[in-house]
Amino acid sequence: PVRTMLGTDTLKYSSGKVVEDPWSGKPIALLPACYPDVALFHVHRCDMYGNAQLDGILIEDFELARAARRLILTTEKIIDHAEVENQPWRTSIPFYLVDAVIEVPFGAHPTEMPTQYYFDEEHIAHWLEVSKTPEGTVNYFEEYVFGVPDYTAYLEKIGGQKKWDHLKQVMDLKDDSGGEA
Amino acid sequence: MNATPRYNLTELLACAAAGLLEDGRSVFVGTGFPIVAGMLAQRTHAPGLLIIFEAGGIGPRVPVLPISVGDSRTYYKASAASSMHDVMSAAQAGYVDYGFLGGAAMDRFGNINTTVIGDWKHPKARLPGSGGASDVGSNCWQTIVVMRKQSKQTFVNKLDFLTTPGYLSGPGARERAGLPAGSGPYRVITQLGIYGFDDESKCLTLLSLHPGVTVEQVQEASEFEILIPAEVGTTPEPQEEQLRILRQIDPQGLVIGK
Repeated sequence: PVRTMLGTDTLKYSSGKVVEDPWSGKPIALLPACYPDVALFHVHRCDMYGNAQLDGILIEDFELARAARRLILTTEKIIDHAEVENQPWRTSIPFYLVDAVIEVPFGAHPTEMPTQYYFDEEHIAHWLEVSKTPEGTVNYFEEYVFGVPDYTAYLEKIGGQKKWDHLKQVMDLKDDSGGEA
Repeated sequence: MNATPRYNLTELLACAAAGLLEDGRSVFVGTGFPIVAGMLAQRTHAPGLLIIFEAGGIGPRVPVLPISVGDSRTYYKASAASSMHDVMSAAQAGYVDYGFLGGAAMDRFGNINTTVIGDWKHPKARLPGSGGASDVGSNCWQTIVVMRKQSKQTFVNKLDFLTTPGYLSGPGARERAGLPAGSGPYRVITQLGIYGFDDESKCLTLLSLHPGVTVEQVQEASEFEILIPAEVGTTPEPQEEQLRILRQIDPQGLVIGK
């Protein structure tokens, strides 16, 4: 149930329905649940069973993890289960929701990983520029995705450890492009 | 306008928008302009303004312009950093006073179209859709609509698509549809002036003209008739201090440079 979009075409053209709230008697909108076949996102820490902990806002990862039929997590670091046991309240995605875990340090590039590294705005600007045309998009994927043997090669190509350290500085607001006000 | 304009339109709009945000209240902000207006208010007359981002940042001291609503800057030194569901639920529960909205077209009741121009099945133009705006327009107590290009094409009699609810068909319509009683559009800011909504008719009413703008220009740039009260003020020009802070908030002019 949501008290949103009532009276709009957004609701009319959606698969939502309007019913009378049995308690208040007021109209309320009902939206069908969504069931993605697969969800895939990157988390800060995760043990080998799939208990995942995220730092910063969850945005919609909490709900998405529970809505998807299959859930694949990439993680900055696979941690010992003991570390989860020490602070179990920090686990926002329990193991029984998770189907696969892959350790991919710097795996959020070119987007940010809260508390760890910021957006690679330079690379994003490059993508925004070349992806204006179909050819540019194909070339980008050829160069950065299909044209590299593995993720390590990809990282070398986008600037490697030097770029990673720089983006850590920017995250901590210790760099000019992200200077403290 | 003076010979060497000290400020551009976006800076004037940002100062006008910031001025509407009272200290100690809460505002839902999206990317770009609304963040700048919220940060300006927070650094001038409303240090206690609670800025809320749709992705979960609640009450941050935003250090520098975030590049997306999920950006970690949106919860820098914040009171809470939760999730989209939590923040949207707070808005539905009535915790959020102001919300910013923009749009391709608006009607006299403050309803907004950001979905299609032309027929829904065969549109002339497909727009991004509502995003979080419909939540803002539905649940915030007082929404502020910012439109840079007021014209006969953007202030229209009838919307091609009603994306985000203003006062819908007029007095009482929001309440009949189930939206929170007493909520709705509060102000509209365009390149020509600042507007409110008449209490009885819920129709757009001119409140103040930007420097150098005339009432005729305002009426001319609208398909529907805008109510003109006897007393119409003049929008104050941005002060040096406000401009200094704006250029500190957005040093690269990503928002205020346009």
